[in-house]
Amino acid sequence: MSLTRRDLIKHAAALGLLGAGGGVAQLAQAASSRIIPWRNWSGGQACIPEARVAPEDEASLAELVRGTKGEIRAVGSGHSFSPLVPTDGTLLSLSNMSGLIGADAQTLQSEFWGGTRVADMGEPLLKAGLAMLNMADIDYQTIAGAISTSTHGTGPKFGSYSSTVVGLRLVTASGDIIDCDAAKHPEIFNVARVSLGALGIITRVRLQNRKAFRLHEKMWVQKTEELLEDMPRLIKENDHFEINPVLHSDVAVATATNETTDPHTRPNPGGGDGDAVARLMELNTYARNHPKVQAALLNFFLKHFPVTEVVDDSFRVFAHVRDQRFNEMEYELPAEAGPACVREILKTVREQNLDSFFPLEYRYVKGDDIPLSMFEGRDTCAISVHQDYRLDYHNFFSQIEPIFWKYDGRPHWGKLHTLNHNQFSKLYPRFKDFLEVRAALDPGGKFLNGHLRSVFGVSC
Amino acid sequence: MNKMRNTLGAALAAAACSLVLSACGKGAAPATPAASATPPTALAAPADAKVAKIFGSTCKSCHAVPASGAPQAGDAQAWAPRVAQGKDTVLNHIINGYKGMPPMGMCMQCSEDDFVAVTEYMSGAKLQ
Repeated sequence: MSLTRRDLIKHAAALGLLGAGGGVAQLAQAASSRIIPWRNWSGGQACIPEARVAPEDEASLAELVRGTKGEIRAVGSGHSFSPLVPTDGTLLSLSNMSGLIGADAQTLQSEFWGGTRVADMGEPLLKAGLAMLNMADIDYQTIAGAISTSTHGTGPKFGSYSSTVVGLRLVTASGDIIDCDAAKHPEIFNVARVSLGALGIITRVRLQNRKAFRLHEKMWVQKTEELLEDMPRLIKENDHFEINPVLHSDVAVATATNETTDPHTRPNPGGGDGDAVARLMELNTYARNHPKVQAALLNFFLKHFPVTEVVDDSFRVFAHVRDQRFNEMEYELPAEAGPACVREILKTVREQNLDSFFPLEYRYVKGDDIPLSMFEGRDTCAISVHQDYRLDYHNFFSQIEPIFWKYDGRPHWGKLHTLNHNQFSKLYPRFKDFLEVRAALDPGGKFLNGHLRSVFGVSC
Repeated sequence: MNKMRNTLGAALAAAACSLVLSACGKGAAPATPAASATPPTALAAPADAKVAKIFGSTCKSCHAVPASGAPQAGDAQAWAPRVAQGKDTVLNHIINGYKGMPPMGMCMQCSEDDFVAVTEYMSGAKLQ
């Protein structure tokens, strides 16, 4: 990205170098350093904020929020694909506020600083004899970011991270600190469990955990249609189950994960998904103009995918290394609509020979009672489509998104979609409940960026 | 025409072989050396408290996890070709992201100097 002299002077002025009498020396120093833009994990979202800050503690965070006139957006690990974060104002990271605050063996609850990465929660919880009830496939997110977007794993008996929140602390637009749970400020707690960062800064999160446990994961390749036909049994007999249908083929990778008392560890053999994705990309490059050949090769060679099994502590099994970056669209549908929807997506990809090679992701999530949760009021099937970060996703996603709409889907808040307030107010029966609390806590829209104004239908 | 068919066939066979090898965990070596299974030497904790904090809260998620494929902290051999590209290129890759490396290494508040310091700690080399 190239910056003009005007951009540089504007940025220097924003930093106070000109107005504060910093003089030529400071301006020259600023000119010698590049201006660092913020980008999300995939690189698909970017902004040049006026300031990037990481307060050391709650008191300085509250002071900063109170004293900031412009827009503030909180950022976790930048793993949202939708434009939740970009701002011209202040980008606020909680990276200095991370780690376990405390754990209670009686209530099986724990409290973490909001900036704690989910990847850093398993070990301290294990030391306290506890574990998360369920976890997502990727654990790079911070816990405040994960609950703000209703991030989830798979398993029809398990809700999202947000559904396991039993209390949280919020720094509001006025700089006030509010502790809320089911008994204290319940009207705020009810909506704050999924808030897109629009109610304030979540500095602490209290979670319902369980006793530490171990998991057995089995992964294999099978015909997608056989797996879909057998889905009712597979999700009934396994604690956690998902499939990854391979585009342009007739097969899917199936993953069944179940609690075990087996003390013998069979660790994850290691390695991310980069090599496998690179091979799929090569095949797609060579064969995409010969769809029948591509399908035959994929079907034939994926049959050789070995059955893999892992046994370990739960947090070491749930999460996988995802070192191949991508952009993603995910919709949450009524659970019963899952098989028909994924069949239609796979058919569309084949018929239109859409240019993508990342496998789909097909999971189940238990319904909850949080107004802005994608799982509000209904057990859900979550279906995701991905595009390699180097490839344009617009054409592919625009062909798939209307299929999700047809099945009454709600887009994942942290993933790409094209909806706005008009659609959301119909998709979420209690959307108004959230809007009322938001307007009361932040009437001036300090925590809103352009994307959120569109989502909420507000102009403040 | 026959030549074109043969070329396509060879390319497909190469990709397919590559695919099945990868499925069996025997993929071809990448052009840039990836991390060793285990770093050759144990790396002492950073002397600088700020570097320690940045490394501990962000970089170690990949640069202390061999499965990530990222060059591991303390693995000078894996870092050497990266360091050889020069400070500007390394900084550009960190700030804007490069292949598996996410933009800013997920350190949202880091400055250019922070990125240099933590890279020099992990690589054990001075960025020029």
